[in-house]
Amino acid sequence: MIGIRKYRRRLRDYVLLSWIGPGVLAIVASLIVFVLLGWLDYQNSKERLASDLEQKSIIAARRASAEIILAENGSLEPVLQLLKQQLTLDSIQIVSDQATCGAPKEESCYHLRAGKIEFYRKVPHTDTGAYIALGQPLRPLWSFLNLFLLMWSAIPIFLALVTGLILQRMFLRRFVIEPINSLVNAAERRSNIPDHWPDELKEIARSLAESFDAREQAVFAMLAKGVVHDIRTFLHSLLTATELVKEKQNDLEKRSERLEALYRASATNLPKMKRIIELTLDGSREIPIHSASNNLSQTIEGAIDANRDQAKNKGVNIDFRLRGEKIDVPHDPVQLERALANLIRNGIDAIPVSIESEAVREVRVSVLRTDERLVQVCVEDSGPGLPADIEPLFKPTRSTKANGAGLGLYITGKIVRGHGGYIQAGQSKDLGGANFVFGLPKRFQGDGVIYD
Amino acid sequence: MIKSLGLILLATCYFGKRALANLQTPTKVKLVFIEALDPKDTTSSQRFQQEYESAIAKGKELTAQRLSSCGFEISPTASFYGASDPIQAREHAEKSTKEGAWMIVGPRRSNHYLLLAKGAPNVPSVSLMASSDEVSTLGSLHLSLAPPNSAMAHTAAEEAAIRINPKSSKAYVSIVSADCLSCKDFAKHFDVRATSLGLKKSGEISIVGDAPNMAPIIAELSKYKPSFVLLPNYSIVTSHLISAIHLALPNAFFVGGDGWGNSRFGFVQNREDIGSTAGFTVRGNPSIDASLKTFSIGKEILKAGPADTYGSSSAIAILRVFDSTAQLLCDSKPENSTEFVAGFKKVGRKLYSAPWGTSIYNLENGNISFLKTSRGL
Repeated sequence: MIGIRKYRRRLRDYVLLSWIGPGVLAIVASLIVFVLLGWLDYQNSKERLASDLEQKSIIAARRASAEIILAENGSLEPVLQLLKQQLTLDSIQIVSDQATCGAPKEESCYHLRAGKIEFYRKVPHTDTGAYIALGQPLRPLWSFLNLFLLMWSAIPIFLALVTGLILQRMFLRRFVIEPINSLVNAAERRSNIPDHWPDELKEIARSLAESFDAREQAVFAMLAKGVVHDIRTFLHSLLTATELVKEKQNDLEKRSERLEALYRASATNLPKMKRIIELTLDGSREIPIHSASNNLSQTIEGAIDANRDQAKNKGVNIDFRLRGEKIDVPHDPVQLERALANLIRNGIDAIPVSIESEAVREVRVSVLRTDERLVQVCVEDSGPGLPADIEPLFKPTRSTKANGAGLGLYITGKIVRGHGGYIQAGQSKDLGGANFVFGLPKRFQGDGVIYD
Repeated sequence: MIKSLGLILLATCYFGKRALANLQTPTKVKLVFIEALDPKDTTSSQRFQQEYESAIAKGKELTAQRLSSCGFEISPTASFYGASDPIQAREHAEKSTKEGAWMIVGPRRSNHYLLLAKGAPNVPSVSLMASSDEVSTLGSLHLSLAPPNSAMAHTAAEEAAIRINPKSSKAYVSIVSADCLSCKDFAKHFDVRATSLGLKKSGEISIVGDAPNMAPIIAELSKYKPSFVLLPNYSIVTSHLISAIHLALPNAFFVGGDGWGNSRFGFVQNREDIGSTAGFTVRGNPSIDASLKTFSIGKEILKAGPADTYGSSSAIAILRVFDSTAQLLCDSKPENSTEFVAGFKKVGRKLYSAPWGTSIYNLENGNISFLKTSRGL
């Protein structure tokens, strides 16, 4: 679990670095584009407004011309008001300023004055030299910076970001993830090295495969070294006890005592040697899983019974509250009992002998959750808990014990995964020690063989 | 014998000259029609234009034989322009002058016709409906087939005095388009005659445009509580005013000038939201049949059957122009446009006049229907 958190954090950092940074830049770019477009629109609006007023001035000048010609009507002022409404103008008036459009006189012109455009056009068909003046205020700059423009400014950048994301995913998958997967498969000899690969890549795959082989050899060499060392220690103590018996052949009383010591040494060390050999063999070979619907409760009880004497000797209580209940789960009772027994034994071994008499000395086995899909089994102890730097636990040579061979948890993991399940390690909240949780699928039917 | 030969020679010369004259190409009289069409209602404008052009064709057809016998042929052309750009009336008139028009048939609206007269001061012109005071002061070259505004306003005031309940306040309010020349004239003449008949003017509201803000108008009307409302305006704004006032004051009675339109054209007729509104309006033209009875080609049309083809009084006025022009040409036989101008000056007022006087039309349940004319037609 600790490893998953670490990878999640790394992934989050990657997302932050690769997307939030560019995202912030994109937002800033959007804002710059937004302001720039707004400003350009504002600049263009002057020309547009002048052009609009030019068209309106033609209509207004012609209409005013008719009213000036028919001066006796007295309709000029109402008509100007009407034009103001119809042409949606801010102001409209007849002016006779000779300097309105400069000299020589032009038919039309416009001026920008105090945030307003004033458009002048000479009134046709009259000899009064009158101009019609149309006024319209310019919209302020801020009115061009609206939500609509903001959306238009952001959409291309947003699309670029999304496109970038999609391309990145495609690129990573095609040029990084898939080649690496192929390389790993080839290096682990799960597949052949493709012929179309470049020679350099073939060479890398071959080197990796050799490296993996060498690593495997090294692991087994290390295992063999530990196993040989343990066996030699046991054999040495048996040899010493045998030699001591031999020394006192004439002293029947002494000889009897030493034979008793030899017997104890044999009784203690020979099962351990047997177990070390079995574990070593299990670690190096396939573990066949013959799954069928069996009572998980019975399997757990079997594992507890296998450790009962050891627990009693150390004064450790093994707690299993669902004893006698029927929990049908497809599993191989022989192999799963081995896995459970191993976890229980680890728990017993983890509880120190010199712990205070009042302290809880317990290994607890419980079924955490049963639903239609999964059964979870938890084995926890009151020991000191798992060291922080021991990951990955379920690999060879990783041991929770000072003198462990590092095969017990590895084999336990193999058995659980052989059932289609999973196993995780953590800290026990109730007992304060280690906590191992494994899950078994309820619908796992086939026989499994796990190759690690 | 010599005497007989002389007589034969004389007769030959006389009849030969007549025969030669008949063989000569008829003198072409360029008659230009200039009219404003309001683009706000395309359907109505299109129908009006079709009827307008149809009347021109019919007038030409019905006068062709008479004119041919006199050695003339009317060559009509029509120019239309947007009603919101009245200066075009003057521009079209100037263009027609340059192109040698003998006579111009001008637009219905007074201010448009006045501008036309200024664009072609020396070309005889006749307006189909212009009725403002200024039109009557343009002189003998520029005439109108409509009775003057003053006459129509007086008729309207007299009819109002008859119809208003004598026990009521006899008060009225005028709502007048400030940008409409003939509307203002009408209101002015109405006031003069109404006062002499004992009607009291409570107030006058000046409006601008086709859809004025009605809230202050309704408030003012409610304050005055008039016996009737005078609306001497054009059709679009009148329909808008009647609709809004009828909603606020359901018993309001309306009196109109020559601008509401008739049962075929205009925006008052059949407007759904004016419901049971009551009132009357005066116009320069009576019903179609009554108009046609007053001139020769009109009578010909009536003889042929019902005159359903024509819905607008403008079409009837066009036919009347053709009839009068044919008579003018055959009577005075001008050889050129200058002689035509002289003849026009002499008999124009008699030929291009409205023999029917002012007509009164009722407004009942959204329908405008002819009631009577001031001359009993």
